[in-house]
Amino acid sequence: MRLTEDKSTRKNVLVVRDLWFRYPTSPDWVLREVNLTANQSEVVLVIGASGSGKTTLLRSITGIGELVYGGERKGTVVIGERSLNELSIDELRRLIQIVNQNAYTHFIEHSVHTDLYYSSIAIHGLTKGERWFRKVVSIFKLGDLLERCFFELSGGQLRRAAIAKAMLWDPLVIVLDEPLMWLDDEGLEEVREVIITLKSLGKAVVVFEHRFLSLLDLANRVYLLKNGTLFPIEHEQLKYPRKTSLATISDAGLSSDKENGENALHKEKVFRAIDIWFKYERSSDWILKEVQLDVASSGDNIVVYGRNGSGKSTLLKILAGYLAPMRGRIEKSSEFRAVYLPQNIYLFFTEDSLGKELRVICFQRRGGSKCVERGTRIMRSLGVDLDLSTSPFNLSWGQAIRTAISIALSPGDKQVLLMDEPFTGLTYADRLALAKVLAKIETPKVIALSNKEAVSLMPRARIYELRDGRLVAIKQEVYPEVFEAAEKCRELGISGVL
Amino acid sequence: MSLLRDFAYAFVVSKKAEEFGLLARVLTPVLLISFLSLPYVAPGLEISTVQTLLALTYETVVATYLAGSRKLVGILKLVGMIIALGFALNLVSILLGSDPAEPVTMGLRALRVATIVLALTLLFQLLTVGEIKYLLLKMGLKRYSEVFAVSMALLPITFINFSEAYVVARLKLGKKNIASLIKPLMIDSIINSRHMAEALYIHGIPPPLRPKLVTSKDLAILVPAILVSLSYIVIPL
Repeated sequence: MRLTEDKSTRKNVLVVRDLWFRYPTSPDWVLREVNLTANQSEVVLVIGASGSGKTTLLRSITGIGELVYGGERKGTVVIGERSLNELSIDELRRLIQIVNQNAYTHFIEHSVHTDLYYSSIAIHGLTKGERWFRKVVSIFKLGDLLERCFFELSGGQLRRAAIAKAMLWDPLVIVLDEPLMWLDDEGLEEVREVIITLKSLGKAVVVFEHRFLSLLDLANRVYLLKNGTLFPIEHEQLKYPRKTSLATISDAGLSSDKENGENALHKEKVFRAIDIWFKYERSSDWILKEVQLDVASSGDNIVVYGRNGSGKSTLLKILAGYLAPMRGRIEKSSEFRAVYLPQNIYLFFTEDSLGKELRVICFQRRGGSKCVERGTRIMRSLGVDLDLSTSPFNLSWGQAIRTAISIALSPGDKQVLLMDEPFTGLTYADRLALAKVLAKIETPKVIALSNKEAVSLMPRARIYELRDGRLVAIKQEVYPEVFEAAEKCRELGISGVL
Repeated sequence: MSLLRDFAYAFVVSKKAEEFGLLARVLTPVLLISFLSLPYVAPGLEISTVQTLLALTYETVVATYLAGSRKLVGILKLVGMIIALGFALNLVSILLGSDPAEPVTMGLRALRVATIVLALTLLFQLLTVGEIKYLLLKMGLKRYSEVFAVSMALLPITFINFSEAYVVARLKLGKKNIASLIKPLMIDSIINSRHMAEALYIHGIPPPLRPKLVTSKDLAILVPAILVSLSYIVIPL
């Protein structure tokens, strides 16, 4: 493995020409006339709305589309000067590697050490395998993680370990599918560092990402995938002249007034967390300490910001009544009920169709037909104008979030929405659209967020940071570039799935 | 949720397992499971309380060595839960008209089941997924070995998602309709399996390495297991 970059020898390692792809389930081509080039030591950033064909492109340049999904591919894919068609599976693995959105799925053995070590030995044989394993562990700074199970790692650590596993093959090209998904600000930095390392090792890195702002400076080339076709775009096209922060928020359609917090103090409290202490095991450290939180009856937006693993989801589950605090208590208004919208929003849906979802929740809450009508109305007002026979599991991520909110609100206003990372997996434009939806809803909300870009989309909220188990009120930080990127995304058509 | 997490940890291989050879790691739990299963496979044979407690004590010692006392507490909670469940099932059967068993007998039966479960978890704490795959391959079960490897890899993700789906279903539809969490969980598992198929395509499943068959420490784990199993002969009922 080379540790230095020699720019004079940079060459094409991935060439995609006139690529077409379709799945066996549909006669329509998902990819049309796609052209893409990646050189050694280059980062190629591919952006696009959900459903634009990013994952399909990834599948078609690796042969997964045909072999796993039975799709049809036309056109040329050349990796390391060899056509994809002539590569055996072992040769392919030595040329190109992928790290999925769901990095958990890369591990077979539970222990990070066992998984990586066995893989390295299997690829290179015992002697070379041990050497490679040590080298990869050192380059990607995995020393502290080796003794842990893969499901114990934070988002950033998990991505780092998955990329290290891919690097055991020493491929020419590494494809990262949504590497920043579900990552906090620290995890984002970790992934950035890994990409810089890969670049310095001479690898071509192709990144498919919604949250492209943090990666723009690393990208040598940027492509926009729209309706199955890839367009090269300049970095400048994604940048916007800076406006003042307040003007940006105002332009974006979100009020920047700070009255929410003061108003909330005078309103009836529907949920009160009083001096909450919590830990999972008696011998472990406290996850929550002295947590105090009041949720007011109407229009109260509360953001709980914190790193992955800081205890945000635990706090939501305590508020939801699923976990019992070890000390302290939760006081709840008997009229109000909590509804939990999980990070993986598809886990919210329990029925086959949207209509059945509404009928079931309305039946449970004794809401009757009025409840179903209200749910349908809310769904339409939030831009989900779908047939009620549609399966919720076929919705796009953005549609699924809006639909889940509509269903949760259908029984009436006496709800408290507990939302875990609702902006994850959305483009900047769709994030802003969702932020507007949330601003419009008067129902009190407690929203757990792990990155400050997302927090800045909630200017009316009371912001708290969960740090070392304590919940501390913090000031809102404004990231104008998030609003500007949303505007840019709208202009370039990287939105609309909501 | 923490109970679920404890349950997941009971199936995670311990780093300390490497100290022992494959033979001892397979034989130890298999001997214990076989011994404790005697009353089920050979009606008329019984295992005394002393024998069951002996097996349970030995399993606890091994589990503490492998997983550490912190994780052991969780594993023992599971044992307690199984005993409680055994009692509950017996009570239900009484309500349904079956002959009531002696409370002591009920307790002993539940204790034996819990001891078997603990022995089963030892199997997973002593063997890596790759080693179990290797054993299945040697038994001529190639296809099952791969299915097993994928299932074991998906197990922790399923546990994580279970707690999420549980909270959603409980708050959305109430405790009575908690079974409705099965559908989203199944669909999510299918999606994860698809992602895993993609990952396996690109990484492959590493062929299992030929593990060390014996080490110098083997006797330390194997001899007590043999003694516990032979206690049937040594300790009269």
